[in-house]
Amino acid sequence: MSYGRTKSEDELDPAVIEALAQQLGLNLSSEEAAALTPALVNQIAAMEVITRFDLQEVVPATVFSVGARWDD
Amino acid sequence: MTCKRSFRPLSLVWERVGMTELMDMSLAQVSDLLADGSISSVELTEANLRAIEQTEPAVHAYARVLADGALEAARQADQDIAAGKRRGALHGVPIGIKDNIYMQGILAESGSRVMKGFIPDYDATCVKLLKAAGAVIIGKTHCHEFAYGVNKPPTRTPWNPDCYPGGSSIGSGVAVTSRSSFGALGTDTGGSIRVPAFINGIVGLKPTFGRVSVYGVVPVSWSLDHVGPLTRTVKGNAIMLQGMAGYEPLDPTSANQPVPDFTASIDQGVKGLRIGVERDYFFYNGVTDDIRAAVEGVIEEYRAQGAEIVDVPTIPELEATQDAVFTIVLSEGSTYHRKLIREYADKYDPTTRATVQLGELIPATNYIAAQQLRTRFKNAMKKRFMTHNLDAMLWPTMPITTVPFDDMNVPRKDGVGETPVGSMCHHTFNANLTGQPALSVPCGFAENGLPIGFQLLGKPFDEAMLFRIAHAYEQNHEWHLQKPHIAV
Repeated sequence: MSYGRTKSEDELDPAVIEALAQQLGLNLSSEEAAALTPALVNQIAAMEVITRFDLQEVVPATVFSVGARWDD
Repeated sequence: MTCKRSFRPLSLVWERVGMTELMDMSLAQVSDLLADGSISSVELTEANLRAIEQTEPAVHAYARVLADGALEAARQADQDIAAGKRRGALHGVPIGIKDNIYMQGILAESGSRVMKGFIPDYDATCVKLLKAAGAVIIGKTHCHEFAYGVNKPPTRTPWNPDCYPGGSSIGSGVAVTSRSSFGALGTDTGGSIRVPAFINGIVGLKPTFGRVSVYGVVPVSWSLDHVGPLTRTVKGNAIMLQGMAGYEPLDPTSANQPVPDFTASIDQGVKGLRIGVERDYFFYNGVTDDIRAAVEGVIEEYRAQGAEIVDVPTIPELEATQDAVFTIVLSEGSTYHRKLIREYADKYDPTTRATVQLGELIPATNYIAAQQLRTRFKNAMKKRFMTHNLDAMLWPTMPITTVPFDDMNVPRKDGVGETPVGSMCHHTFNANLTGQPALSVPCGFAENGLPIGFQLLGKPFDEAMLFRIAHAYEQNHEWHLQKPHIAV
């Protein structure tokens, strides 16, 4: 798994991931769940980096446009 | 693949220079030859097809070569040009298209078994515009599976076949540097045009978000995806952008902005322009000494040419942008693949499959928080540009040169504390978050003999300024003329 920057030593039971994946309709084997678990832990840990910033009043960038030229 | 004979006698240029010299020319140069009748599009296309035959066994840049269709388009271009109906600088010029971009009636497999046999029934808007500009589509270039950048396609960079050739516009970058294409289209979600441009020693542009429509392009991440050109020179890049930019009402992310003449101001130089340099993040300790020295040399050259180099304070949000991008890419990408992964999971490469599955497990609130961080970062970047009255910012396109395949996912050997794959997009994905245009330009070679490039970041819809600044540097150097050992 090459995606991800933040690394975490936190642990998560792969069986939980496997069960969640099954619930979502993903046909994940035990081996795949075990391999995926550290990557998911890292992804969740990445939120710690993002939420260091005060985002309370920030509207998310869900309008997919940069808008007009900045100097207009 | 068939190469039919030209419909008319060989031109003087073709007889004089031959295939190698012809394919060494830039897109802008062959455009000029076509314009003055020194060469025909058929001759150019035949030369390109021979170049492909010669280089493909070593580099595997093309997923499919469209010889018959290209020659037919070239014949039509020659007839139109001869009749005084030349449509512009791209008319009759052969180019490549990344395989995740649709062409009507042509296989578009996006580097995946999932899409095996898929034939779109319409042209992507960028392809439609390029055809209308008279470009000759010579082939579809390889890409990483669904442009995720995690599997291993057959493409190899001629600069060192043992090393990662850049992705995900992998075939486009390699074809251009191998001289088996004058220019090619790529897509860029976190650096997939600029990274292969850097690694292959060529020019790559990620335009402003919305400048080039993504209608008819297989998405990776709707809010981060861009389409742009890879070429050997800055001017050729501007010519290609001219042929593909424009508003597409069918594409909700397309920007209804005027399209200027991208080459009109390209020769105006940099005197009086203000170029910002931020050092804490973009010149961090992960930048290797040779890349740092090369890019510092670029900065000093711009200063000598009369540009004002402006020290820009760092933007604190930069430290979180990589995590934000990964969160957004994984979440949006997995949403696109939601149906496919349930029906064809076994057809995905295991690395791509795991990436898609991972995206489904990320909480929605994390995705929204990443988009909130993006808002903050966009505002901060805009403030830096406006406060310091910048025309562009400049930094290395990548902090390291490419590395052997086996080293991609292991910690860097210099103790920086990240993997090469993490380093490679450290300087590129920021522009995907803000949507600003970003141009990678060659600026030398590292001690290991591999290419180095720098990146210019501009204001939204001001690609012309980036071309102008980059062209001013390129005119004083011959990096764009260097070619790898494995080339035409």
